Amino acid sequence: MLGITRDTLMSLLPYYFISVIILSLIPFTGNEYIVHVMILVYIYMILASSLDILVGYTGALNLGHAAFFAIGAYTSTLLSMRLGISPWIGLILGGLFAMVAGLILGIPCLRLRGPYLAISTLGFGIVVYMFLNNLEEITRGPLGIPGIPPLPGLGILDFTKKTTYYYFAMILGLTCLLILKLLATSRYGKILIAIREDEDAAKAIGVNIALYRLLAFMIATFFAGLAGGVYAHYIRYISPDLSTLSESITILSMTLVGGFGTIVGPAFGALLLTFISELLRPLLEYRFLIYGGLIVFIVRFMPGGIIGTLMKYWSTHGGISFKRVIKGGGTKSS
Amino acid sequence: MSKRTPQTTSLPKNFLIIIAVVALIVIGGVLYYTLSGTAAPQEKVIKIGLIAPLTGPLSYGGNDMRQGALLAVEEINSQGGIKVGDTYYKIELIIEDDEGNPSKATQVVQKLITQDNVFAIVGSYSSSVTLAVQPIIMENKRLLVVPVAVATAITNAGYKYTFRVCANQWMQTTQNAEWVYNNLKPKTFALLLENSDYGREGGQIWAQYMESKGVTKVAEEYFMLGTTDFYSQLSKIKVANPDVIFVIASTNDAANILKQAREIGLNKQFVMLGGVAQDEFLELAGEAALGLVHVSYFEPTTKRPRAAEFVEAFKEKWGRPPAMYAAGTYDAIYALKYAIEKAGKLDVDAVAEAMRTLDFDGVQGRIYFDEKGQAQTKVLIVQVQRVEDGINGLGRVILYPPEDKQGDYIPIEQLLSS
Amino acid sequence: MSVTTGIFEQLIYGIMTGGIYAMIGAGLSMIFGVMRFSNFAHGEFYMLGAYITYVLTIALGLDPYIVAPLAAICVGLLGILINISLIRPLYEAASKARGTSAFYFQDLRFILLTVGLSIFLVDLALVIWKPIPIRVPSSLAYMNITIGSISFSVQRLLAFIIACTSLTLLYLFLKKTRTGKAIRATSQNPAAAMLVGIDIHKIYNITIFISLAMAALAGGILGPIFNLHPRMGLDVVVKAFAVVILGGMGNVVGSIYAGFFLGLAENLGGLFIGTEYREAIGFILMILVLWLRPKGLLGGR
Repeated sequence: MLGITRDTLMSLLPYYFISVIILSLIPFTGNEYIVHVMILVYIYMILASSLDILVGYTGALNLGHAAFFAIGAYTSTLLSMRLGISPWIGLILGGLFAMVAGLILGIPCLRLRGPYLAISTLGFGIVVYMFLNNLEEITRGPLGIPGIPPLPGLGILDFTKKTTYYYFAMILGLTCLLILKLLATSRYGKILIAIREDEDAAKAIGVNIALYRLLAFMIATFFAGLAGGVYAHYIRYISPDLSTLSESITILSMTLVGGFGTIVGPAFGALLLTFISELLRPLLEYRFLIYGGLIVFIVRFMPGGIIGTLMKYWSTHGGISFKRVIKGGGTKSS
Repeated sequence: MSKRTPQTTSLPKNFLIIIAVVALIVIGGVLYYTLSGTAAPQEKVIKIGLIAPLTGPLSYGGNDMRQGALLAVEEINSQGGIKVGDTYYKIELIIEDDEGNPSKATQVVQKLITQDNVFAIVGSYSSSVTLAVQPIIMENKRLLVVPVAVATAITNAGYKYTFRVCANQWMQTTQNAEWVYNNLKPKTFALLLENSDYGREGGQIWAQYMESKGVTKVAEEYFMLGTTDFYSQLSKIKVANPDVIFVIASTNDAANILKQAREIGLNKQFVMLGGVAQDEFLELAGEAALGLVHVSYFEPTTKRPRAAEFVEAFKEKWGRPPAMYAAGTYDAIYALKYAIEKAGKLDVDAVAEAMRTLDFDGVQGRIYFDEKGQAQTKVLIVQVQRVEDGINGLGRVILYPPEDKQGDYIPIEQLLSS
Repeated sequence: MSVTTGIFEQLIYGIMTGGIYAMIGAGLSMIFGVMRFSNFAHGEFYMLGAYITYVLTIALGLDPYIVAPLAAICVGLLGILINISLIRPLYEAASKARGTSAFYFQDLRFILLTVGLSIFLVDLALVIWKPIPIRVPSSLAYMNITIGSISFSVQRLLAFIIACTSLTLLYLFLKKTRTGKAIRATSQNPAAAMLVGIDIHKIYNITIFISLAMAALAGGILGPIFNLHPRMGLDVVVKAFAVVILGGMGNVVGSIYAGFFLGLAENLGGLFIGTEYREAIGFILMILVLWLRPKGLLGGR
């Protein structure tokens, strides 16, 4: 139904497994700091790539994506701390809650386009922030919630250990990436692109624009909420600052720098920007100069983002097809 | 994306190349770290972690803290260090920047505990940061000595290993109310509060004290964080005509409030808490600050011996007078020294016990703790008056307590007409 | 007596604040109407205007209210520079694209460009002037005017007068002068304007100059009143967008009315609902309008 062919899956799986193998090596550096940063990278990867579904594929600009991240984080936290629900279930519920929120935002936004949509999503992010900040009996407001329980152990797996959490985040992150890429390349994804490219034509062939846009909202926000839960049980402290415009812009920048409409581009963007912001930590004040400058540079000179531009370059100049190499066909330009 | 990117069903081939690059980097990193791993030789040291906002908007206080801590450590180490039983241990101070950000703070605290294995942590400036890291530190059984953060909850929780060497929010608010009632004898009061937990709680505590003494509340106004225009609130207060106005606001907001109060002709006695005890505030508020009565945790101009000693040493080392943050942190390090020496061993429980029964002469005054680890210090009450070498001709004059007193209270009407 | 005094006071204060909102909103609306993009960095030009005014005040030893127009011109010129180097190339790329996605992606690119610019400029201010708030010295500080029971500072009055003057000048410029008419023509139909011989890119430069200069002027005249800090633009930009949306995006006159309306709504609303919610009022109005009447109360693009 979704049009995900076995072929598609088979062509993606090799990349998936290679990534798993390579990234599994990271804890062997023995450097806890890098492991920690990578965990954050995986979380942001999920955020940036899920945003791509909305912005890159559906063409709906969302300046409030961090709000769903925060909703997922708070949901999982509050459920585990107030109601004693296992954080494992909390993660999923966080995603579902965020998804419902996505629905709530998506419905009124269906008829909005361009800057109106952008400002609405911006507004939503601010409203969520205000809620989290002011409903102090529930959320402790600006003080945030410390002492969040970690993910309960599974057998010999102890999730308070950074390395264990690393593998968890890695598998989850890469799997989410895989799922999103499959969705994006499926028939559903193609319809989204059709809507993005020419809404009227899509309507003419009978596509229910509203339904598809809404689904896109729900998918993107579900993953964002999931990422929120993963963050909460790792850092074990959350605050309304998770839902600020600044956070949303950070996510959007990752998607932008990586490249809209590619799913993997934003993942790369997350990797790049997280490392830049960590490496630049000593230059804290200058950090945003570089950040902002980078955004301006990419928009001006590399609008497809880094991956997007690379893709364009290589698809017009040929490259290696992994499938063909395996089958012994050697290299062949496309 | 001005051209439509051809959508293919398989990942673009170039992704393989990207993976290869990432792989090379990762493998390189692994080799680098495994080959270069070394272990530092063991010495007789006690590791103490310091978390403070060294960068960001709170960096002024954070750096003050850092300098206070370094002075204390230098003094102690130059005398041999901390005496544990018969051995002297030097202090190794590991300083981490928390940026005033609780999430960042939890990460550096984790590093201090797991990688550096510190015995105790001193910090921090911001209450939300301290509250955020407290559970982790307690879980890992390290001592936490708080030098600056005021949220009452930090010690109210009653954690065995948490101690605070400065007065908390409740203490500074009630001591302030007490002084105002005893010395200004107001009949009516008004509140102008930041619409936050901090603001509302503080206002409630102050108002409760006043009302219990029979003073009537005639106005209660709030403002959201980020407000710059206070005309609405101030004009409502002006109409109510209170004898004193208690304000809880951050430095810049406070400056604006006082300025705008003058502008609309509201010239009553304003009273505030310790947040404005900074030279920065006097800079920003200018003339409008004249007459303000507020709390201070430490003034470098005080003549009390222990404090004056500290100020001299600090000025010599750093070339500038210390602010309250340095004073608190200095006291915190010394508290640890005395407690460890009293306990006689490097055992967290023993040291915690010892600290609870400490009673020493700190830079901020006499320091002794209650059963929750809260030091029972007195705060200073100061008034902004005209002084020589002031900032824009103004400076803080200590009115109370008697050991630190520098001058008398001058009523607002008198100050404004002079 | 106190209730009616209360209302009257808030009315006056509301109109005074409204003038400033109108100034900033008009510029933003103009950019949207003429150049068809949303400038998320608008607040940063307000901020730069304030800081440059401060720098010039210290350097030249003159009162900030004299120096502010100069700062405004500097910022306006900076705007032209940004237009030529960053914005115009995006236009060129946009004109080569096809289909709906082309428009939205281009719109997205402008928004992201201005967002990146905003981040950059805020950090630039942080690096140059540090995060500590700065007071702008002015000989007019602490001087008040009292009319009946209402009191306010001379600075506020002056700010209000300057705001109204510049708004009036803007209005007359757009309605009466040839360039003003050219601007309006371009905003209605760029293609047709080109056919009639209007140099679109010159118009864009002029629009940017005026728009950013007005924002900067607002910053310059408010700086002495509220103290400067690098994030001051961020607080203002939300209100600017609220004004633009209320008045209708692209409707400059509409945003002027909307500016005053917002000022009044905030102050009167604060009186009745509670002053702590004052800041949220503009925001809530904006959301309501967006969802119920996106074209704005007075109609726009």
